[in-house]
Amino acid sequence: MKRVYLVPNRCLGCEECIEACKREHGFVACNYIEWVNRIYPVQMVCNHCADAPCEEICPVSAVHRLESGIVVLDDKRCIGCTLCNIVCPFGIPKFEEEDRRAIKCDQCADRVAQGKEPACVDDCPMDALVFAEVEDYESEQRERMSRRILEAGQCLRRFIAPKKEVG
Amino acid sequence: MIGLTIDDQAVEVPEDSTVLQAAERLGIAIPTLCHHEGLAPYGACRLCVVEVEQRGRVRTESSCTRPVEDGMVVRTDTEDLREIRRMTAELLLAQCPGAPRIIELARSLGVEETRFPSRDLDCVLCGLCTRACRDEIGTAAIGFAHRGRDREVTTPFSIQAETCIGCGACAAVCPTGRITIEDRDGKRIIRAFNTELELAACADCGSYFAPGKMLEHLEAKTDLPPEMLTRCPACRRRRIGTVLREAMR
Repeated sequence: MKRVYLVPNRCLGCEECIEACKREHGFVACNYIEWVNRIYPVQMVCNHCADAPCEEICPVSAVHRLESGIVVLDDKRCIGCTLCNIVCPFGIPKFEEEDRRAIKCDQCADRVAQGKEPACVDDCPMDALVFAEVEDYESEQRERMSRRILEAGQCLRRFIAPKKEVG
Repeated sequence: MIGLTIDDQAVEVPEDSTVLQAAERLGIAIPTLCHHEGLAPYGACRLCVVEVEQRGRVRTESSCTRPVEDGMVVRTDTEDLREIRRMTAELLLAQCPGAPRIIELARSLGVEETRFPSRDLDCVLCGLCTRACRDEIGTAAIGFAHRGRDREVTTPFSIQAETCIGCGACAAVCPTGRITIEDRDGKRIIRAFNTELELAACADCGSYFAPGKMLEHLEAKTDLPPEMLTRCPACRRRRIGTVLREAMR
Protein backbone atom coordinates (compact mmCIF):
# COMPACT_ATOMS: atom_id res chain seq x y z
CA MET A 1 0.00 0.00 0.00
CA LYS A 2 1.29 3.43 -0.87
CA ARG A 3 2.05 5.78 1.97
CA VAL A 4 3.10 9.38 2.34
CA TYR A 5 6.79 9.55 3.21
CA LEU A 6 8.98 12.49 4.12
CA VAL A 7 12.29 12.93 2.30
CA PRO A 8 14.78 13.88 4.96
CA ASN A 9 16.45 17.31 4.84
CA ARG A 10 14.09 18.64 2.19
CA CYS A 11 11.44 19.83 4.55
CA LEU A 12 11.70 23.54 5.34
CA GLY A 13 8.82 23.54 7.77
CA CYS A 14 6.83 25.92 5.55
CA GLU A 15 3.64 24.01 6.51
CA GLU A 16 2.28 24.28 2.97
CA CYS A 17 1.22 20.64 3.32
CA ILE A 18 -1.09 21.70 6.15
CA GLU A 19 -2.56 24.45 3.99
CA ALA A 20 -2.95 22.02 1.09
CA CYS A 21 -4.84 19.65 3.35
CA LYS A 22 -7.07 22.47 4.57
CA ARG A 23 -7.86 23.45 0.98
CA GLU A 24 -8.68 19.87 0.12
CA HIS A 25 -10.86 19.11 3.12
CA GLY A 26 -12.35 22.50 3.82
CA PHE A 27 -10.83 24.51 6.68
CA VAL A 28 -9.53 21.73 8.89
CA ALA A 29 -6.32 19.90 8.05
CA CYS A 30 -5.91 16.22 8.93
CA ASN A 31 -2.15 16.37 9.07
CA TYR A 32 0.32 17.83 11.54
CA ILE A 33 3.83 19.18 11.56
CA GLU A 34 5.70 18.08 14.61
CA TRP A 35 8.70 20.30 15.39
CA VAL A 36 11.11 17.80 16.91
CA ASN A 37 13.42 19.51 19.41
CA ARG A 38 11.76 22.68 18.16
CA ILE A 39 13.92 22.73 15.02
CA TYR A 40 13.27 19.66 12.87
CA PRO A 41 9.89 19.62 11.11
CA VAL A 42 8.32 16.21 10.61
CA GLN A 43 4.97 15.80 8.89
CA MET A 44 2.60 13.36 10.55
CA VAL A 45 -0.45 11.78 9.02
CA CYS A 46 -2.63 8.82 9.81
CA ASN A 47 -0.71 5.56 9.63
CA HIS A 48 -3.69 3.57 8.38
CA CYS A 49 -2.86 0.88 10.91
CA ALA A 50 -3.55 -2.75 10.09
CA ASP A 51 -5.14 -3.33 13.49
CA ALA A 52 -6.42 0.18 13.89
CA PRO A 53 -7.43 0.97 17.48
CA CYS A 54 -9.76 3.67 16.16
CA GLU A 55 -11.66 1.14 14.08
CA GLU A 56 -11.90 -1.19 17.06
CA ILE A 57 -13.16 1.39 19.51
CA CYS A 58 -15.59 3.35 17.34
CA PRO A 59 -19.00 2.65 18.88
CA VAL A 60 -20.89 3.40 15.66
CA SER A 61 -18.53 1.65 13.24
CA ALA A 62 -17.76 4.91 11.50
CA VAL A 63 -14.14 3.82 10.98
CA HIS A 64 -13.46 1.12 8.47
CA ARG A 65 -10.32 -0.32 6.91
CA LEU A 66 -10.78 -0.78 3.19
CA GLU A 67 -9.28 -3.59 1.16
CA SER A 68 -6.73 -1.17 -0.21
CA GLY A 69 -5.50 -0.70 3.34
CA ILE A 70 -6.73 2.84 3.86
CA VAL A 71 -8.60 3.45 7.09
CA VAL A 72 -11.52 5.73 6.30
CA LEU A 73 -13.78 7.59 8.66
CA ASP A 74 -17.39 8.21 7.64
CA ASP A 75 -18.11 11.51 9.30
CA LYS A 76 -21.85 11.13 8.71
CA ARG A 77 -21.89 8.23 11.14
CA CYS A 78 -19.67 9.92 13.70
CA ILE A 79 -21.40 10.84 16.96
CA GLY A 80 -18.57 12.96 18.32
CA CYS A 81 -17.58 10.75 21.26
CA THR A 82 -13.82 11.50 20.78
CA LEU A 83 -12.83 7.94 21.73
CA CYS A 84 -10.86 7.50 18.50
CA ASN A 85 -8.72 10.49 19.41
CA ILE A 86 -7.92 9.08 22.84
CA VAL A 87 -7.07 5.56 21.62
CA CYS A 88 -4.90 6.59 18.68
CA PRO A 89 -1.27 5.88 19.65
CA PHE A 90 -0.21 8.65 17.28
CA GLY A 91 -2.73 11.27 18.38
CA ILE A 92 -4.05 11.77 14.84
CA PRO A 93 -7.86 12.19 14.74
CA LYS A 94 -9.09 15.77 15.08
CA PHE A 95 -12.52 17.18 15.69
CA GLU A 96 -14.77 19.70 14.01
CA GLU A 97 -15.20 22.81 16.15
CA GLU A 98 -18.98 22.77 16.12
CA ASP A 99 -20.22 19.22 16.32
CA ARG A 100 -17.12 17.32 17.42
CA ARG A 101 -17.23 15.02 14.40
CA ALA A 102 -13.92 13.29 13.84
CA ILE A 103 -11.66 14.15 10.94
CA LYS A 104 -8.88 11.92 9.78
CA CYS A 105 -6.52 11.59 6.85
CA ASP A 106 -7.93 9.38 4.10
CA GLN A 107 -4.92 9.70 1.78
CA CYS A 108 -7.12 11.94 -0.37
CA ALA A 109 -8.93 8.88 -1.69
CA ASP A 110 -10.94 10.90 -4.25
CA ARG A 111 -7.80 12.50 -5.68
CA VAL A 112 -6.01 9.16 -5.85
CA ALA A 113 -9.00 7.64 -7.65
CA GLN A 114 -8.48 10.31 -10.33
CA GLY A 115 -4.84 9.32 -10.68
CA LYS A 116 -3.59 12.28 -8.66
CA GLU A 117 -1.53 12.25 -5.48
CA PRO A 118 -2.64 13.35 -2.02
CA ALA A 119 -2.89 17.12 -1.71
CA CYS A 120 0.01 17.44 0.74
CA VAL A 121 2.34 15.52 -1.58
CA ASP A 122 1.30 17.49 -4.63
CA ASP A 123 1.58 20.93 -3.10
CA CYS A 124 4.88 20.60 -1.26
CA PRO A 125 7.14 23.24 -2.85
CA MET A 126 10.27 21.27 -1.94
CA ASP A 127 9.02 17.86 -3.14
CA ALA A 128 9.71 16.74 0.40
CA LEU A 129 6.74 14.40 0.45
CA VAL A 130 6.42 11.31 -1.72
CA PHE A 131 3.50 8.97 -2.19
CA ALA A 132 5.00 5.55 -2.74
CA GLU A 133 5.21 1.91 -1.77
CA VAL A 134 7.81 1.41 0.95
CA GLU A 135 10.17 -0.59 -1.33
CA ASP A 136 10.13 2.13 -4.00
CA TYR A 137 10.66 4.84 -1.40
CA GLU A 138 13.59 2.98 0.11
CA SER A 139 15.33 2.31 -3.20
CA GLU A 140 14.74 5.90 -4.33
CA GLN A 141 16.21 7.18 -1.08
CA ARG A 142 19.29 5.04 -1.44
CA GLU A 143 19.74 6.17 -5.02
CA ARG A 144 19.23 9.80 -4.08
CA MET A 145 21.70 9.58 -1.23
CA SER A 146 24.39 7.88 -3.32
CA ARG A 147 23.98 10.47 -6.04
CA ARG A 148 24.22 13.32 -3.59
CA ILE A 149 27.30 11.86 -1.99
CA LEU A 150 28.95 11.70 -5.41
CA GLU A 151 27.83 15.19 -6.46
CA ALA A 152 28.93 16.68 -3.19
CA GLY A 153 32.43 15.34 -3.64
CA GLN A 154 34.38 16.66 -0.71
CA CYS A 155 32.06 19.60 -0.09
CA LEU A 156 29.71 19.22 2.90
CA ARG A 157 27.68 22.33 2.09
CA ARG A 158 26.73 20.90 -1.28
CA PHE A 159 25.52 17.75 0.39
CA ILE A 160 23.15 19.52 2.77
CA ALA A 161 21.55 21.81 0.17
CA PRO A 162 21.04 19.84 -3.04
CA LYS A 163 20.00 21.45 -6.33
CA LYS A 164 16.26 21.00 -6.96
CA GLU A 165 15.68 18.18 -9.41
CA VAL A 166 14.44 19.19 -12.86
CA GLY A 167 11.58 17.39 -14.61
CA MET B 1 -32.44 -6.59 -3.59
CA ILE B 2 -35.82 -4.87 -3.22
CA GLY B 3 -37.37 -2.72 -5.96
CA LEU B 4 -39.58 0.26 -5.14
CA THR B 5 -40.65 3.56 -6.64
CA ILE B 6 -40.09 6.93 -4.99
CA ASP B 7 -41.56 10.06 -6.60
CA ASP B 8 -41.98 8.14 -9.86
CA GLN B 9 -38.36 7.03 -9.86
CA ALA B 10 -37.45 3.35 -9.62
CA VAL B 11 -34.70 2.25 -7.26
CA GLU B 12 -33.20 -1.01 -6.04
CA VAL B 13 -31.84 -1.30 -2.53
CA PRO B 14 -30.60 -4.06 -0.21
CA GLU B 15 -33.26 -5.93 1.75
CA ASP B 16 -32.67 -4.34 5.15
CA SER B 17 -32.85 -0.74 3.90
CA THR B 18 -35.29 1.89 5.01
CA VAL B 19 -37.36 4.10 2.75
CA LEU B 20 -35.19 7.05 3.83
CA GLN B 21 -32.05 5.23 2.70
CA ALA B 22 -33.69 4.36 -0.62
CA ALA B 23 -34.61 8.03 -1.14
CA GLU B 24 -31.03 9.05 -0.32
CA ARG B 25 -29.81 6.70 -3.01
CA LEU B 26 -31.95 8.56 -5.52
CA GLY B 27 -30.69 11.88 -4.23
CA ILE B 28 -34.13 12.82 -2.90
CA ALA B 29 -33.84 14.98 0.20
CA ILE B 30 -36.31 14.38 3.01
CA PRO B 31 -36.18 16.64 6.09
CA THR B 32 -35.10 14.94 9.31
CA LEU B 33 -34.23 15.92 12.85
CA CYS B 34 -33.96 12.83 15.02
CA HIS B 35 -32.18 10.84 12.33
CA HIS B 36 -28.44 10.15 12.50
CA GLU B 37 -26.48 7.78 10.26
CA GLY B 38 -24.55 6.35 13.18
CA LEU B 39 -27.60 5.69 15.36
CA ALA B 40 -30.54 3.34 15.07
CA PRO B 41 -33.65 5.09 13.68
CA TYR B 42 -36.22 6.25 16.20
CA GLY B 43 -39.05 7.93 14.30
CA ALA B 44 -39.60 10.55 16.99
CA CYS B 45 -39.66 13.86 15.12
CA ARG B 46 -42.11 12.91 12.33
CA LEU B 47 -40.47 15.26 9.84
CA CYS B 48 -39.39 12.49 7.50
CA VAL B 49 -42.98 11.29 6.91
CA VAL B 50 -43.79 10.00 3.44
CA GLU B 51 -46.85 8.52 1.77
CA VAL B 52 -46.54 4.79 1.23
CA GLU B 53 -48.93 3.12 -1.17
CA GLN B 54 -49.34 -0.63 -0.96
CA ARG B 55 -52.20 -2.83 -2.07
CA GLY B 56 -54.37 0.18 -2.81
CA ARG B 57 -53.95 1.79 0.62
CA VAL B 58 -51.97 4.94 1.28
CA ARG B 59 -50.42 5.40 4.70
CA THR B 60 -48.33 8.22 6.06
CA GLU B 61 -45.27 6.83 7.78
CA SER B 62 -41.84 7.97 8.98
CA SER B 63 -39.39 7.01 6.24
CA CYS B 64 -36.48 6.53 8.65
CA THR B 65 -38.14 3.57 10.36
CA ARG B 66 -40.04 2.11 7.42
CA PRO B 67 -38.38 -0.99 5.93
CA VAL B 68 -38.57 -1.23 2.14
CA GLU B 69 -40.86 -3.78 0.52
CA ASP B 70 -41.00 -4.93 -3.07
CA GLY B 71 -43.33 -2.91 -5.24
CA MET B 72 -43.88 -0.07 -2.76
CA VAL B 73 -44.87 3.28 -4.22
CA VAL B 74 -43.64 6.21 -2.16
CA ARG B 75 -44.29 9.93 -2.41
CA THR B 76 -42.08 12.32 -0.49
CA ASP B 77 -43.42 15.74 -1.42
CA THR B 78 -47.22 15.99 -1.61
CA GLU B 79 -49.24 18.94 -0.36
CA ASP B 80 -50.50 16.85 2.57
CA LEU B 81 -46.95 15.94 3.58
CA ARG B 82 -45.85 19.54 3.39
CA GLU B 83 -48.77 20.46 5.62
CA ILE B 84 -47.81 17.78 8.15
CA ARG B 85 -44.19 18.89 8.18
CA ARG B 86 -45.17 22.53 8.66
CA MET B 87 -47.40 21.60 11.57
CA THR B 88 -44.59 19.50 13.08
CA ALA B 89 -42.27 22.48 12.70
CA GLU B 90 -44.77 24.71 14.49
CA LEU B 91 -44.97 22.24 17.36
CA LEU B 92 -41.18 22.05 17.53
CA LEU B 93 -40.95 25.84 17.57
CA ALA B 94 -43.42 25.98 20.41
CA GLN B 95 -41.35 23.46 22.34
CA CYS B 96 -37.98 25.14 21.77
CA PRO B 97 -38.47 28.65 20.38
CA GLY B 98 -34.91 29.66 21.21
CA ALA B 99 -32.94 26.86 19.56
CA PRO B 100 -31.18 28.12 16.41
CA ARG B 101 -31.33 24.80 14.62
CA ILE B 102 -35.04 24.43 15.28
CA ILE B 103 -35.65 27.94 14.00
CA GLU B 104 -33.56 27.19 10.92
CA LEU B 105 -35.35 23.91 10.31
CA ALA B 106 -38.76 25.56 10.62
CA ARG B 107 -37.68 28.34 8.28
CA SER B 108 -36.55 25.82 5.68
CA LEU B 109 -40.07 24.41 5.74
CA GLY B 110 -41.61 27.86 5.39
CA VAL B 111 -42.54 28.26 9.04
CA GLU B 112 -41.65 31.55 10.72
CA GLU B 113 -43.94 31.48 13.71
CA THR B 114 -46.10 29.09 15.66
CA ARG B 115 -49.74 29.30 16.66
CA PHE B 116 -49.11 27.20 19.75
CA PRO B 117 -48.31 28.66 23.17
CA SER B 118 -44.60 28.49 23.77
CA ARG B 119 -43.34 25.95 26.30
CA ASP B 120 -39.95 27.57 26.02
CA LEU B 121 -37.97 24.45 26.83
CA ASP B 122 -34.60 23.38 25.53
CA CYS B 123 -35.24 19.77 24.57
CA VAL B 124 -37.33 18.33 21.75
CA LEU B 125 -37.09 14.73 23.02
CA CYS B 126 -35.51 13.58 19.76
CA GLY B 127 -33.65 10.83 21.61
CA LEU B 128 -30.34 11.38 19.80
CA CYS B 129 -28.42 11.73 23.06
CA THR B 130 -30.09 8.75 24.73
CA ARG B 131 -29.56 6.52 21.74
CA ALA B 132 -25.91 7.54 21.49
CA CYS B 133 -25.29 6.94 25.17
CA ARG B 134 -27.23 3.74 25.65
CA ASP B 135 -26.86 1.96 22.32
CA GLU B 136 -23.47 3.11 21.11
CA ILE B 137 -21.29 4.10 24.03
CA GLY B 138 -23.08 1.48 26.09
CA THR B 139 -23.00 3.35 29.35
CA ALA B 140 -26.65 4.43 29.38
CA ALA B 141 -25.87 7.32 31.70
CA ILE B 142 -28.92 9.21 30.40
CA GLY B 143 -32.38 8.19 29.31
CA PHE B 144 -35.98 9.27 29.09
CA ALA B 145 -37.89 9.73 32.34
CA HIS B 146 -41.65 10.21 32.88
CA ARG B 147 -44.27 10.48 30.17
CA GLY B 148 -46.44 13.03 28.41
CA ARG B 149 -45.79 16.66 29.27
CA ASP B 150 -43.28 15.73 31.96
CA ARG B 151 -41.10 13.58 29.71
CA GLU B 152 -37.50 14.62 29.91
CA VAL B 153 -34.00 13.36 29.28
CA THR B 154 -32.06 12.93 32.47
CA THR B 155 -29.80 10.71 34.53
CA PRO B 156 -31.04 8.26 37.15
CA PHE B 157 -32.49 10.45 39.97
CA SER B 158 -31.19 13.51 38.09
CA ILE B 159 -27.81 13.29 39.75
CA GLN B 160 -24.49 12.53 38.11
CA ALA B 161 -24.62 9.08 36.54
CA GLU B 162 -22.16 6.53 37.86
CA THR B 163 -21.52 5.19 34.39
CA CYS B 164 -20.91 8.46 32.55
CA ILE B 165 -17.46 8.56 30.99
CA GLY B 166 -17.70 12.16 29.82
CA CYS B 167 -17.27 11.37 26.13
CA GLY B 168 -19.54 14.21 25.08
CA ALA B 169 -21.38 12.34 22.35
CA CYS B 170 -24.62 13.61 23.91
CA ALA B 171 -23.50 17.20 23.40
CA ALA B 172 -22.24 16.51 19.90
CA VAL B 173 -25.54 15.11 18.65
CA CYS B 174 -27.92 17.42 20.52
CA PRO B 175 -29.80 19.62 17.99
CA THR B 176 -31.05 22.28 20.42
CA GLY B 177 -27.85 23.10 22.25
CA ARG B 178 -29.26 22.06 25.60
CA ILE B 179 -26.33 19.74 26.28
CA THR B 180 -23.01 21.49 26.60
CA ILE B 181 -19.54 20.34 27.55
CA GLU B 182 -17.13 22.62 29.31
CA ASP B 183 -13.62 21.70 30.33
CA ARG B 184 -12.62 24.03 33.15
CA ASP B 185 -10.19 23.85 36.04
CA GLY B 186 -9.38 20.20 35.53
CA LYS B 187 -13.01 19.14 35.32
CA ARG B 188 -15.41 18.28 32.50
CA ILE B 189 -18.80 19.81 33.22
CA ILE B 190 -21.97 18.60 31.53
CA ARG B 191 -24.37 21.02 33.13
CA ALA B 192 -27.56 19.55 31.68
CA PHE B 193 -26.96 16.33 33.61
CA ASN B 194 -25.43 17.73 36.79
CA THR B 195 -22.22 16.02 35.85
CA GLU B 196 -18.70 16.98 36.82
CA LEU B 197 -15.89 14.61 35.97
CA GLU B 198 -12.24 14.85 36.89
CA LEU B 199 -10.00 15.26 33.87
CA ALA B 200 -6.78 13.28 33.74
CA ALA B 201 -3.55 15.23 33.33
CA CYS B 202 -1.00 14.19 30.72
CA ALA B 203 1.99 12.46 32.31
CA ASP B 204 4.33 14.41 30.01
CA CYS B 205 2.99 17.93 29.72
CA GLY B 206 0.44 18.06 32.50
CA SER B 207 -2.41 19.41 30.39
CA TYR B 208 -5.89 18.00 30.96
CA PHE B 209 -6.98 15.94 28.00
CA ALA B 210 -9.66 13.39 28.86
CA PRO B 211 -11.86 12.39 31.79
CA GLY B 212 -10.23 9.81 34.05
CA LYS B 213 -13.34 7.68 33.76
CA MET B 214 -13.02 7.62 29.99
CA LEU B 215 -9.44 6.38 30.25
CA GLU B 216 -10.52 3.65 32.69
CA HIS B 217 -13.30 2.68 30.29
CA LEU B 218 -10.80 2.47 27.42
CA GLU B 219 -8.22 0.58 29.42
CA ALA B 220 -10.83 -2.07 30.11
CA LYS B 221 -11.99 -2.19 26.50
CA THR B 222 -8.67 -2.19 24.66
CA ASP B 223 -5.23 -3.69 25.04
CA LEU B 224 -3.40 -0.40 24.69
CA PRO B 225 -0.46 0.10 27.03
CA PRO B 226 -1.32 2.26 30.07
CA GLU B 227 1.78 4.43 29.43
CA MET B 228 0.19 5.49 26.19
CA LEU B 229 -3.23 6.21 27.64
CA THR B 230 -1.75 8.58 30.20
CA ARG B 231 -0.29 10.84 27.50
CA CYS B 232 -2.29 13.45 25.66
CA PRO B 233 -2.53 13.16 21.84
CA ALA B 234 -0.16 16.10 21.36
CA CYS B 235 2.55 14.43 23.45
CA ARG B 236 2.00 11.16 21.63
CA ARG B 237 2.63 13.00 18.38
CA ARG B 238 5.66 14.64 19.89
CA ARG B 239 7.14 11.30 20.93
CA ILE B 240 6.43 9.65 17.59
CA GLY B 241 7.83 12.69 15.77
CA THR B 242 11.07 12.27 17.67
CA VAL B 243 11.24 8.60 16.72
CA LEU B 244 10.56 9.44 13.06
CA ARG B 245 13.24 12.09 13.08
CA GLU B 246 15.75 9.65 14.57
CA ALA B 247 14.87 7.12 11.88
CA MET B 248 15.64 9.67 9.21
CA ARG B 249 19.18 10.43 10.32
